[in-house]
Amino acid sequence: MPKITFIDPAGKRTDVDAREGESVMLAALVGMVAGIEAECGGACSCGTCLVQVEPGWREAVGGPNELEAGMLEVIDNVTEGCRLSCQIPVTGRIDGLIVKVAG
Amino acid sequence: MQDVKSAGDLARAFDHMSEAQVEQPYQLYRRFRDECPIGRSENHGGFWFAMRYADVAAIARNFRVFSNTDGVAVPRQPSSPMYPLELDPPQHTEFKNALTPLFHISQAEALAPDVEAEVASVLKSALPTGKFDFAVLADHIPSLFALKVIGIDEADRPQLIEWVDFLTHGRDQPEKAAEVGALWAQYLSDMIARRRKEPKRDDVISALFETEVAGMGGLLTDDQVQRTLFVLIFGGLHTTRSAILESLFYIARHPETRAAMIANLENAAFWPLAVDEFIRYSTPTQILKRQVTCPIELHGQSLQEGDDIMICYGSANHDERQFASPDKVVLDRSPNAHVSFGMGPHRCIGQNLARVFLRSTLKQVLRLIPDYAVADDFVPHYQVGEARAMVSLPAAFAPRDA
Repeated sequence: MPKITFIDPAGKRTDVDAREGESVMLAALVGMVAGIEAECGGACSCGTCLVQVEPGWREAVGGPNELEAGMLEVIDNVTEGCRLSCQIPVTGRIDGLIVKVAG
Repeated sequence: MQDVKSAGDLARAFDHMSEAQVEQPYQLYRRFRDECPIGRSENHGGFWFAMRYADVAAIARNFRVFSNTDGVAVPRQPSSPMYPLELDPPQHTEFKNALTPLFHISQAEALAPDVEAEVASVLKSALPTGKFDFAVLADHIPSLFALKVIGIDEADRPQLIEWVDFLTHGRDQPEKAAEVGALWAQYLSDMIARRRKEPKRDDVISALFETEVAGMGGLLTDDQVQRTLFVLIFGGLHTTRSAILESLFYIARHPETRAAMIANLENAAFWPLAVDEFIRYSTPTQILKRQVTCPIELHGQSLQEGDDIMICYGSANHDERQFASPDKVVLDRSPNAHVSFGMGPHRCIGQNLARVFLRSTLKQVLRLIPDYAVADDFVPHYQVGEARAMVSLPAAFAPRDA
């Protein structure tokens, strides 16, 4: 199971065992990570699962898809390396991933 | 008379499908929230229920412990399993992601002018009479537009709606429910077979034919398309009807709400918060089921693997621990993380459409008959079922030229 580390807005680290095929957002829900509201449930339409991917992981995670890029344009606190975690699939490639929750 | 029954007694007798409960759900919810946040009912084979916002939100999000694969309706829906609602991640995630673009906010918003025009056209013939039952409008708008987006031919819609009505509100007659369930399944299956051979159209059915979900075996089969249509049709009709009627009734009873809405009719910034507040307040889908996948303790109660738990969105949305003055419509309530569309992975895929249908209907009614009134002695009655919708809402207004 790929491990994902979330750093919440208060600086607290949570390690979650994610499952391949699920999304990083779902892993955060299961891990009860603070700041991941995921109001739309993974429909890429609310912007409440925003994370900043740690610099070393950005290439492995890749950039936003088309639907997501449209959402990222209209969300306030988007900075470099930000993704909507509902749009990041969990794969073996991202085992060990570290993301900061934008909150 | 003082109610001497204990919360535990009330819990054991709790039946979300009883007429008395559906007519007036909120008083009992409140008692449960205070005294029995996780309770156990002996009805429908026995089930747990969760009443507080924090518990409802946590359960809805935690799909590993609380599964959808045993179905979400109690009593059981003959059309189960419906996709992707009655799947868990990861199958659910991939399936739903494939459908999401079809219900994107931009597609939904593009319908707004047509919805407003249709509301005006339905109201037109009533204008000279000064009388109108809003249930007609609340039936017509979601049926017309949701079924159109899905791709159900106009000629077939009335029959389809009749079946859906029965399966949503008439499942206390199991034999008839099974019969109706078989009829509409047959209709959908014939229609899907026919549409496969026809040229592509700009609707959800054509899009489903091209949808690939690796975890479900690739391109969707006829059966999988049918199981997807089940939930899209169930989800789209009575829920919106319920929100429209509940909102119009609240407005009729609260002059200050009506005045604020009329003053902001053309103020686009006003409507998003107002519409979501009406959706919170009305909570069309009051309660749905999850199945427990491993032993877990909640508020001192031990839930076992295989137990059913109903999560009560209606109670969560009126939980004073989460919302100040929950029984009031606060038009600019923010934040408003209500659970009317659910929460977590299974959040309603049609939420953008629902918002457009409700907003366009309320705006147009307030433009055309801002003086509508509901008789002082009118007491709403509700249909029992997955969607708590008023049976009728007769209104009167000053007659005017059409």
